[in-house]
Amino acid sequence: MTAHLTRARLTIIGFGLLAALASLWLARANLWPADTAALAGRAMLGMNGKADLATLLAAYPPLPYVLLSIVEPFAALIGIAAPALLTAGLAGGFLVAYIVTMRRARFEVEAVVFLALLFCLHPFALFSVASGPEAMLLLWGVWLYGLGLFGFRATGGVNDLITLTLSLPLLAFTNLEGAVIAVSAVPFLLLSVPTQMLQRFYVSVYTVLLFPLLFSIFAFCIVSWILLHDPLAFVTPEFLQAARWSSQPWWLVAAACGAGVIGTMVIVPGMILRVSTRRPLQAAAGALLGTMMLAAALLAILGLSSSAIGALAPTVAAAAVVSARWPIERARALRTAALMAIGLLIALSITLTNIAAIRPALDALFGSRIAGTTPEADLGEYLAGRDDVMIDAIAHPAVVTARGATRGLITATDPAFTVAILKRELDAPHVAVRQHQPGESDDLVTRIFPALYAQGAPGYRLTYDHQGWRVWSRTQSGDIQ
Amino acid sequence: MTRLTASDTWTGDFLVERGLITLKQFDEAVDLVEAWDASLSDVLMARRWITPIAYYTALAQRFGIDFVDLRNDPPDPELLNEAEVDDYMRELTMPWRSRDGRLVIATARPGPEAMLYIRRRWGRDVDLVVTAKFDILWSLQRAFGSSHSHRAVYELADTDPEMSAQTVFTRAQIAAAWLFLTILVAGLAWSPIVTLIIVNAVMSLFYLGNFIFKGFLVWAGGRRQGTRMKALDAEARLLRDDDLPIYTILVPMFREPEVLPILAGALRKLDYPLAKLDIKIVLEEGDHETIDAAKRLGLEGIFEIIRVPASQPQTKPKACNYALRYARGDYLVIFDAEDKPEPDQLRKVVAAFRRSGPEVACVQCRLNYYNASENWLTRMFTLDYSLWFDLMLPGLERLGIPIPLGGTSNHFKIDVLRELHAWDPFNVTEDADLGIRMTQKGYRVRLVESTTFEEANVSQTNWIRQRSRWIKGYMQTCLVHTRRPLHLMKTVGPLGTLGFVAFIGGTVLSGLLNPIFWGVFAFWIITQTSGFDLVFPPILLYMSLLNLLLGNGMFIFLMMLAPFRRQWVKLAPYSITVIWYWVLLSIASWKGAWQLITKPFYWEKTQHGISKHTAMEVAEALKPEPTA
Repeated sequence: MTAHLTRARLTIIGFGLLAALASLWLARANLWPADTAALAGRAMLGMNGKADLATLLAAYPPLPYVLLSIVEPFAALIGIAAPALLTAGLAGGFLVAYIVTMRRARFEVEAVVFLALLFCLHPFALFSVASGPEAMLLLWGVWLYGLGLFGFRATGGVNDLITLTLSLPLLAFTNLEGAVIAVSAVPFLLLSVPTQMLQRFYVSVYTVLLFPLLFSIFAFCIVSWILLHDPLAFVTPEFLQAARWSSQPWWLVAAACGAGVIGTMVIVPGMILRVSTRRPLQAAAGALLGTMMLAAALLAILGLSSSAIGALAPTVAAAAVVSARWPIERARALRTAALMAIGLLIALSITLTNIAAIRPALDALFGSRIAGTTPEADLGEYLAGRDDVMIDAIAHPAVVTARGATRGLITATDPAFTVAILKRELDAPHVAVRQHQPGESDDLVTRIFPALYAQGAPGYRLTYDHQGWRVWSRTQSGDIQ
Repeated sequence: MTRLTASDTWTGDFLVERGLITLKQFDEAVDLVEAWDASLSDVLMARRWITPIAYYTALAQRFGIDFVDLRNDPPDPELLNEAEVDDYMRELTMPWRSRDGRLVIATARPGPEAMLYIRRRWGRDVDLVVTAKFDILWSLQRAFGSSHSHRAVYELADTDPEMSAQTVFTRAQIAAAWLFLTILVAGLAWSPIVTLIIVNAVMSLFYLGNFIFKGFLVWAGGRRQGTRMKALDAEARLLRDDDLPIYTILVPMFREPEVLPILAGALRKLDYPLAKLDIKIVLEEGDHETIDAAKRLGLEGIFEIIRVPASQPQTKPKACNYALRYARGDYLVIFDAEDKPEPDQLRKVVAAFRRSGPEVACVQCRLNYYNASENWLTRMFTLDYSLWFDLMLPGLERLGIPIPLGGTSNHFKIDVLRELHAWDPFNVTEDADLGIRMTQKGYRVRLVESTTFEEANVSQTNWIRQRSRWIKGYMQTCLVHTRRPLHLMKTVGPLGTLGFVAFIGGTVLSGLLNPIFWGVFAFWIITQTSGFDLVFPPILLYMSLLNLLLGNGMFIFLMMLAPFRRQWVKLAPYSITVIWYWVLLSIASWKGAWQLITKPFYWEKTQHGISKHTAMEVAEALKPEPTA
């Protein structure tokens, strides 16, 4: 019995490792969005003492940053980029969790293997893995949220309640997209509460359901206040820009979202009256579906996702939950299969209409090498073999990610950089400088040496010039004007 | 299932003829004797159909032998053997006196079974007299009271001194503390900032570990609870009355006469054959008010009163050790005076023991409060207890970490309890200590989902008194069991050791350290001083922030979860006010620490019966029973 159990566990772990390796294979293409690359770069800088940790800790989103910081030393040790390693871990872990949940739900081994493969090859899952740790964290968040919904509605158990409530801060602190999903979940949380409990303790239950989310936000503000003396320090121009709501005042958009959520909350009690008397399964499934639909609508309104696939990718985790929690009785098998087929068809049609979004991931999966897709990534790859490079890495962390290491960079925290700034004199063997971008503030190097990009410096020759970045390398030391 | 013996049938007819019981009562008693596998006398007295004195007098007349009141005619002490007290109590038979060269045996259950025992033990040449069960108990206490009292205090300390809290600090512990303080002082003198950073780092790591550990415990404890509970419920329901063993219930009391009716009422409601209950109300000899109250209540024959001779330390474990000498059951449980166990608790425990292996020597049931909604403190106390008993202890059980037993409703196999020399009278949380000692001796504690409801403290000063005793006891328990760290590691394993130190030590230490950190934080908030910057280098600052925010947030959240298992969800929002509760806890911790040094064995008495719910319970319990 024990040997059988061990064998089963090893097999499941083997599946997880395979998924992790596959995601590493995908990750070699560096397909991460710019913000992921920037986050990873900040983590590398922070962990190597090349950036002010306080500023980084108080920045939004904190969760991927903290996880990347934890993973970074291990990644450096084995020579894999931190986002790739973290994504691989999250992907492998997700598959293990999925298989274990399916087995606990008494699915046959063959069915589990088939569903796991189906999940792995699902375009949305593929897209999430290719998109890096934030997207994978979103899958985890939705997965835990769904499990919590189904579990708590069915049993009222404490562990299900923990899963449900902790999934919300996990989502909210992963990125803005996750925050939107977490906010969308708020009105539907009540559907997760067992009917008797809901009827007797409406306010108490809601307090508990929302406490981790609200306390996490409060705690994050406190951290900002203690470290940066401003509780809303994370509401930076970049934060607002990321939401692409700069055309309207941010408070107007926030108020509109709030009104939407409150409006839904007004509608939901009526819904609750109808659905709460239904069986747990239907109520939980309704809540999950409602959350994902509201989230998708809000994401579309706010323009937070680069593509339809990006907005809908987390639904693959919701589908995974439903497939694991839906009863496997023969009578319902046909309906379940039909629903899954419809879901897959919808996903495929969305994918086909957005093929550009998924194309790089498919290319990477099938072996085509993809060059750096951003100027920072290209520069990073160029700098990978060079030491003593002066660059304002804090302003351009994505370069660090693509370069793979902070060692050999002269950044703002290094004395050599400070001396150069103070003396307005260049001495570093290599200096990377970005072209001035209209409407954006310059980095430290450009600010102190405004002519460097265009004219270079005495004793330096141009060795790299690509997409608004130049690298000047020293031939002999000299001053510049 | 046994049928009524010929002797008991004859006795029953005799009692009916004399008009001491009715024919209907006798018929019912016959059924109960068969159903419970008990004797006629036990059934009649359990049902309060006859008074003990009337029964035993009639019994003497029926057998044509003398009835002896042992209080007026005590036994010859020379004939009694202390080593045989267990036998005397089990058989309710003991040597009384020598008369005309023949030994006279006093018995409270004359009949063929007693005769077989008497002949086997003392031969054929003996005479018999009848006496009452209570007289035997009283005589044995009178004869061996001082010896039993001495053993109740010193048996553990004499036989297993390493496990006794009689010595508060061993020399090695004092030396270690001295060494630690010396290093600390030297460090502060030599390099104060580095030393403070190290101290700060150690404390921060402790906090981090503490909240991760407690979170993990709650998670582990919440898994697969329902399935096990259902299986045990089913098994308990299947147990037949005649298959149940004698169960000893100890109820130690001290100056709390007001709650006696609640207790009696609750015990009568137990779903267990009353004739198989060996209930012992354990009172201090000088506690006349409770003794008088017990007498006034006119309790039936299943209740016995044990008077514990005065001696120091005057603690509950000493009283229980003393009463244990007279216990007759296979299993034993302790209830506090104001306890209301769920009726099926004993059955569930018997079922749990039978489902478990021989290594399970104790079953801990859950504790909670019947006056949870009385005021803010009772709500918080209920949340606290729910977290402890409903979420954390199941986690300890699941992870195989020694379980500190709660104050009451811990059920023991009586032979194991005696083998371990029972409770440590010098430890003021003797139950927690016993749980750890049991694990160290190779036994296990199991948890069962049956609740005993108690009276939650309604007064903050009273609560601090109670909690300071608990914390002092945890400190004693920690000190005792960490005297031999390697032995502890060997007996309970690395995880068990870590869990024990974190769970018991962590609870105590966090109560002591919290005010220091709160003070530092409050001072910093008010003054915005940069004076602490030196001892909070970045990494430490981030860890402290994590502890401050995530740690406290998590503990509040865990408290919110605590009432869910009982569906007492309306209590959950009160968790947000837990900070004042933690302040009270810290006051109690420092008081406990101070008492550990100044009065280590002092039993800080909790005043019971002050809740208005208790007053209502007493009124309810005192209502006359409706007649059929």
